[in-house]
Amino acid sequence: MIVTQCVQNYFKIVLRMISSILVVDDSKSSRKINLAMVRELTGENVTCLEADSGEVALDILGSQRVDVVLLDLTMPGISGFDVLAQMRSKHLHGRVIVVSADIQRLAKERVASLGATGFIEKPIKIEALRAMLTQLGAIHE
Amino acid sequence: MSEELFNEDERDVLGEMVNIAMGKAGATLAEAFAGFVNLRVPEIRAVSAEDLRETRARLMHTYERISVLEQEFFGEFAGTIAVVYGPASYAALRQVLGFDDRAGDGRRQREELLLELGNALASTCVQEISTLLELRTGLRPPRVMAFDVPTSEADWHLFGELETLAGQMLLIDIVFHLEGHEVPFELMVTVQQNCLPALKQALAKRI
Repeated sequence: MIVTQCVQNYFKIVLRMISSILVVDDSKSSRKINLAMVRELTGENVTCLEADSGEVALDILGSQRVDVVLLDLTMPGISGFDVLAQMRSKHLHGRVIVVSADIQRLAKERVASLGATGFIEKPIKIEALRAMLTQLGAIHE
Repeated sequence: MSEELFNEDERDVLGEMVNIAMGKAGATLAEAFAGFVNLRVPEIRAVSAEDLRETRARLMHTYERISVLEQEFFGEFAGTIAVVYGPASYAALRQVLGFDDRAGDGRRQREELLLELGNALASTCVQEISTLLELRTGLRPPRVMAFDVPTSEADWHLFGELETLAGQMLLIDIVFHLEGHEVPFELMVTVQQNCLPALKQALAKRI
């Protein structure tokens, strides 16, 4: 009984650690799909935010705490690579999962070196997102 | 892309499908060069005969000489895809792959190289778009339409409808930049007008 309560409390603490997720993609349909999957996986536990460009994403990240960022790479203006670089140089908070069609090996290596936690290839599959969010503690199995 | 062919949501979904196809084709190119390819947002638009003339003029301005591989695709998703190589892209190919085309039948070797790489890019791109949209398509064998000729002399099927085109057709333009070489590789896809209803239906399912 005590052990069960401890486990439940542990997960409550973990879930509290991930309270907001920002979806960054210039495609409205991609944002819609990503947000629907995030809501499906996290329920009401997480606040979902969205940005249709790298510029908007950096504004949000600079003005409020975001725990997890789902980040596209190929966008007009500030690319996902640039967002990662600026997050690092400006010490902006948020663990980044790249969700991209740019599936080059070097692209994956570069985003990892810029601090991304994970990489999901487009078209996104809910199981890939589930695994990544589980790894980050946003959801638990 | 104009409002006459697609609404905003349809454009968005099609753009994302093309983006995914471009990513796969870009990875193919990156692998061939053992390098990194900068991907930019593809340009998708409805074009008239006049727009196509401007596109051809832009190509003549961009590339003094040109090599072109074309491949037709047919079925529910039908049209023509062209892979455009400027002189610099061919030079990069030679440098990176390290072959010497001075010996033997250099022209044939170069043509085969363009054919092989172009075929890989074109088929990856077309097949990925058709798979994502669940539209059946087949590819005819690729052909080298122009090989290192002045751009104005290049023979393109892609622009073949120029004189007879009434209304608009869909043009997808993808440019890959090979990092370290500043070399563009360009893919141009035209989609036949009679495929647009099926395309719109496929897009509507994904909105």
